[in-house]
Amino acid sequence: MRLFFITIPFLLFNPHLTGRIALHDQAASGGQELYNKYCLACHQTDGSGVPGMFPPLVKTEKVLGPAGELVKIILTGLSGTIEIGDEMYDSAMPALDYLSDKDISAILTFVRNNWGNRAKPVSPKEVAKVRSEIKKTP
Amino acid sequence: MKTLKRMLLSGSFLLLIFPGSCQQSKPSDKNQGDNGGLTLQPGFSAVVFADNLGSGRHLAARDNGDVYLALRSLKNGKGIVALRDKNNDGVADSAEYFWNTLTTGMDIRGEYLYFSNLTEVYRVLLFPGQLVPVEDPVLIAGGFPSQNQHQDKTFALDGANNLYVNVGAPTNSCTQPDRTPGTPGLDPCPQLERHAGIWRFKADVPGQDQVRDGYHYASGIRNSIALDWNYTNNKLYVVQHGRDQLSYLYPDLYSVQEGADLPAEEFFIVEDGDFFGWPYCYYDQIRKIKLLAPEYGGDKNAVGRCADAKGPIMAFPGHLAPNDLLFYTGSRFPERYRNGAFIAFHGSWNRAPLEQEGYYVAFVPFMNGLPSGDMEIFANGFAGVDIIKSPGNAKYRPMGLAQGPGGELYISESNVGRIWKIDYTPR
Repeated sequence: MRLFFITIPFLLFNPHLTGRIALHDQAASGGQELYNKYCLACHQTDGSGVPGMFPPLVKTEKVLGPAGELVKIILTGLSGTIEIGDEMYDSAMPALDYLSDKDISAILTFVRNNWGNRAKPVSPKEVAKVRSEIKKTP
Repeated sequence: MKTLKRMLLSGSFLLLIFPGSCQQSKPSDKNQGDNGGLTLQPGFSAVVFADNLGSGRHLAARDNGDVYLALRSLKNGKGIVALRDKNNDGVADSAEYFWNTLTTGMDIRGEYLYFSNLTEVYRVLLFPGQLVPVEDPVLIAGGFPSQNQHQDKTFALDGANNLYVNVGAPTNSCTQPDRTPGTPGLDPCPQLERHAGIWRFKADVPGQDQVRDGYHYASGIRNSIALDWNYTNNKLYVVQHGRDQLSYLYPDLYSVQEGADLPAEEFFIVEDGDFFGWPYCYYDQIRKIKLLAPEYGGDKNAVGRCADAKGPIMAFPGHLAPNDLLFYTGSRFPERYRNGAFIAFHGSWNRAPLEQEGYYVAFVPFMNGLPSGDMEIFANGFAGVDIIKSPGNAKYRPMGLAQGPGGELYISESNVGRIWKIDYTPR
């Protein structure tokens, strides 16, 4: 058990982890197709978004931070102005709650591990958990 | 590393040459033999009048050559920047920021500077010789609903003391929720009551409210950031942003290519009581027909109620984002430009995954109030790259147009706030 706790930080900061990350990419290969279908129109092919309208998905805390927040945005959508860096974005994002837990997990894992992004994959289980929490709070 | 060192050295070198030029509006290179990065028609030249001003929107030029630029985000806590060329070398050497909200529209009539934000239009007196207004701006028209997209309350002024304000649609095509596949359009669309049209006000009466005092001049216009008054026939002209995402929302009906090309950005003459079709209709510029939108039962062929919607005088390819319109009344440019229309195309985002288009200023020749020739690209090269995959690739995005007192043309852009001044030298 103790060994397990020591190993995790080692894995996180291990520069030889590229093989493992490649595995994430592979796992998210369906993610790219789903991204193209549901997200690309606004967030663009390179995740750079549209200045003033749709925020970038590249190297921003909202994408790379805790997965729960990100899952919530996909499930409930977003409206109002948000600020990233010096730029404001004010177009509304529709809720994509009609997508399955598996599809959302694939999209988010793809988004979190592309265009220079590196963050933990998001599991369907995490998506399901957030979905049920949202249902509980009206 | 060597390059970096060289850049640093040349930077400090420039500072030594121009020790007094520390205003941030000052373009770094005064020679500017490269037209400020633009490609222009023969005989025309450009200089960078001012640079790095902020997120530029519309702009206006005064009789004395002062230029006022609207800023979509506050810079130094201010929403308008006033520019002056004090030493008459052709570029601004003074930049003063004022006003405490962001702004979008900008125009000058007589002694008054008119400007707007997302819900209001103001005006303020400009005293002779003074760059920054000293009086408090007065609210002329307000009470517009706040909304999450197409918010810019851009406007035009006519010669009879009227103010025409663009109120954009708060959605893509009047569905609830917005931009969600499989969602039918609300019918009738309740958003047409307060949005998606032009409201007319008196240009000199303070405190007017959209509902109480505004005259609902025209309807069914999705968003017309680009609008101008044409003094040759005394009519209002606008260029509409057509709806988005035909292919994304209706992949079984529209291919990716069709979604990128359709629908048109429409050029309208707007007269009292006109209805142009949003959200029920869109214009197919390839087949030259106004068609029923898929949210309202359209199948790419059905016309239905759109037979009654007023059509465009010209249709541009989809998603180019016409963000300003200017009828040229000067005599500095060749005769064929007189009374013709300049249009600033901000550039598309909605063609993805295909290459983006636009990002240029176009010219349309006019005769008797109607286009007399095809659209031509007047100024290009804003993006700084040949292929634009996403808007983020573009270095500059043309945004606003203004005519200077000598007939020169000013072009603003929205990324960093550069202003070019275009001149013409007869050969």
